[in-house]
Amino acid sequence: MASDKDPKDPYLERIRQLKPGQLESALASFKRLLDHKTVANLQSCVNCGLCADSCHYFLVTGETEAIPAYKLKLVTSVFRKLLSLLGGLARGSEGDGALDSQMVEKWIDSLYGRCTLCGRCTLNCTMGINITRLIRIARTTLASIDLVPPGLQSTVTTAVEKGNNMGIPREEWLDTLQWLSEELQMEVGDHKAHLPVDKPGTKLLYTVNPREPKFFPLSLLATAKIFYAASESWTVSSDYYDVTNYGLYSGDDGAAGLLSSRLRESMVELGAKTLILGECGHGYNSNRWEAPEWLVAEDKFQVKSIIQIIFDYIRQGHIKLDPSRIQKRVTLHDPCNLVRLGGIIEEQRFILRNAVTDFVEMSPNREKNYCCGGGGGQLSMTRYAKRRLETGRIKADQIRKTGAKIVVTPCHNCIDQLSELNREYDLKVEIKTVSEVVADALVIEKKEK
Amino acid sequence: MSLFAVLKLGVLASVLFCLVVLTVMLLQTFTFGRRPTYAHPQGSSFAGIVYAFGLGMLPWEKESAAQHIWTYAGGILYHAGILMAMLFLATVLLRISLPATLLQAVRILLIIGVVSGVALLIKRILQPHMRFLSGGDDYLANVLVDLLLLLALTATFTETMLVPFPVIAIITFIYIPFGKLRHCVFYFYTRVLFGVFFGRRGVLPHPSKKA
Repeated sequence: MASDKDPKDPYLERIRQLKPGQLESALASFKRLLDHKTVANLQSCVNCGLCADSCHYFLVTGETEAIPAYKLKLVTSVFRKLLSLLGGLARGSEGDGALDSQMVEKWIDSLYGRCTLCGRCTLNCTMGINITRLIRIARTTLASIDLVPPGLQSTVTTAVEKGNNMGIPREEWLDTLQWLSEELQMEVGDHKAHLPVDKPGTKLLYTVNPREPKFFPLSLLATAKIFYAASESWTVSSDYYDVTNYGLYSGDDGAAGLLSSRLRESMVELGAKTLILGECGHGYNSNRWEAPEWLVAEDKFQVKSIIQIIFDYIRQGHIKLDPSRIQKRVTLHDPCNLVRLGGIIEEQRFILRNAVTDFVEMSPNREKNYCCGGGGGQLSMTRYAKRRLETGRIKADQIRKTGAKIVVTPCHNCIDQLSELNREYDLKVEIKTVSEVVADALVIEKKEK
Repeated sequence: MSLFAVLKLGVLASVLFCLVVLTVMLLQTFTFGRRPTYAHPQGSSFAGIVYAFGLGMLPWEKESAAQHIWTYAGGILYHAGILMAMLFLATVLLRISLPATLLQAVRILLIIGVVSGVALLIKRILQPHMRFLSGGDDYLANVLVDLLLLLALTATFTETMLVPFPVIAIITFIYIPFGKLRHCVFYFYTRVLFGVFFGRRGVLPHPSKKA
């Protein structure tokens, strides 16, 4: 694993050997990304420092480079140098604002390496500055000169080239769906039950995190079981089913737009009515909120989270749950991209209150919840793995305080990080998706005659 | 022309300068273009803006304020003092004499304002992470405004201070657009954007009654 301190690291070598032309190109990209909102945000920080304690990186490490206001200053100083009157007066620890290789190194270390784009600093900013947005703009600037950290870039590249971020071949995906259909038939006792593929004209087109077919097929089976119980009209695409979009994290708007457009193409090809985003926080933010901006077009169909669908099933009586089946204490981790940045806040709570007997909240929770540390592409940037696990301590403490035996979260990135935290901090908890918990509590009424 | 008349003109000119430059800066933001938003809203931008300027300002709604309640309170009182200094400046320039009780209230607010401003400056100097974050502008802006409040306070006691007070006001008004004091305008801009962002996404105001 290349370290961010390794002098032989080819990535750091590339940064140090940046040519003036590349830096000018980056600066031009930065300028192009600005609009009235970002410029207003860039003009507004008063360095009150109150954002510091909102960042899990700063809280755990106490490193000043992790303070959101410092990260913001790195971006603001470049902006001021570029455009504003007497920008030099604001000069401080961030440097003089010239976008040179030293500044690029600082940008990468703080804006990729010490940020999960969780939005907690934005929520807590005294001024209301969208710090998350500005950090992503800086990432986009770096992406424009191919300086996305290698692990994160390779995830994006795999998704673009292979159609999904795990590089699962089409045949393997179809095989998985086939054997999951057989599993479903056995579970529900109905030989007609199956996971429909490329079925035209369905109500829902379901998209999944490729980690489900690759490593957690039972998550996918759980959702299929819920759809079966609700007699839903649904399908998955054989080609483009990947709900993830690491372009959100790398900052590469072109790749991000391409990945989101593929799901939309599948919607059009199959004639589905609603695009359903599987349990993936950043997949929801990307495809529900950011994709229309990347694609510069309104969606002509609804885009919903599977959480909203399950919520509706329960509320409308389409599925029955027996909470007595889950007696262990359950807590909920709120994925930042789904909750704080996505607006899906109460639905998962309603679901859990109906699916388990002992549901307890973490503190803080909902939009104020702490990031688990796995967002922002951190799980794919192995060079920052130590920091990621270290900063996850806050989440581990939150979980431990609840006394829960099961941690539920509607996000596979969070599940991966929580699983690592489970080992690292010896939490002794089970980690599940919302669908898995609902499927466990599901009362299936026999349909076959 | 009397010294007072010169100072009065100076204040007016500096206020005008400040307003013109701030207006140019505001308009400058729009030269970067306005990108329409395409994602369908889930909540209300308007409700988000109302939240941003209402409930969203309260300490129990914002962890950063709740955890730093003294800084939060100091900030509020500092700004109340600044507002009072501005109003007092207007009364000085317009030669309006305030009733004794009102003058007492002005003094109290100015004292609280000065104490708050100095306390925030001390905090900035003493806390390592605040020192790390701070640049020249952070100290200069604070000292300038503290001086403004202090001279306003002294001017409430003696007419001899009626000269330095407008002078520091002129310097402050000229400086505002060039440093962080520009937040007197940009604060409202970013709070609106904050409200729109979280409002249309259905995050704020908190939708706890939705489910």
